Amino acid sequence: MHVNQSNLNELTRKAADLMSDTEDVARLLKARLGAEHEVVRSANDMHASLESLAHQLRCLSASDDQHDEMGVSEDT
Amino acid sequence: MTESDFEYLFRTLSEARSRATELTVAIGARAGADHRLADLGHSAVSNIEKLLREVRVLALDQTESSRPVPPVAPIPPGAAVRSEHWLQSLIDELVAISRAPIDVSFETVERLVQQRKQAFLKDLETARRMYRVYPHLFPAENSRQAGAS
Repeated sequence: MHVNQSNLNELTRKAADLMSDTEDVARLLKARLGAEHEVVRSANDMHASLESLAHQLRCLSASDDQHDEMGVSEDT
Repeated sequence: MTESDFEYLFRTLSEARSRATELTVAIGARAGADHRLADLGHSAVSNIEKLLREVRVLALDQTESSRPVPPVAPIPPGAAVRSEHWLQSLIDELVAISRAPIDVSFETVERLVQQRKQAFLKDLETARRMYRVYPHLFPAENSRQAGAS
């Protein structure tokens, strides 16, 4: 396996784009159904999980020792 | 909720599911399927699929509650759901894996098949409900194809 900074940055960008592109989903559902609706909670869960993924990728991308963190070697 | 709201939600969530799946596969290919980042990716995909199902049910329920008795009614928002065959979705994921710079394992493929199967069974349950409520929206030719799945 091989992970380089470029690949990591690309994954991080994709996760951030995905999070950004789905932000309006929870907002729309909340406006139409109210904050307490079950579907709105599911939308918040979805947004939170995407946010968490993007955040972790961002942290890893910013870290100097991301290769150790991902448990991969640089022998390729 | 308007029809355009549902169209937006279906389109956005369907695309998000595909992109999140591709992202998760890419992470798993680089970091390993058991890495916590891959777990976060799977969790995100599951949450997107869960929300997509709930929005479909919401569209169905809303149409049921507001539908007048006469059969000649406007096309319900549920009809805006695009047909997405599980096989195409699975193939897309496998192609994404094949582009990753590692060997594809049987375990990875088996897990993807299992995920597609679970998603298919849940979608099938919703589709059957829609068929019972709106049989006129399913021409005979389509129903034969659905039976073949």
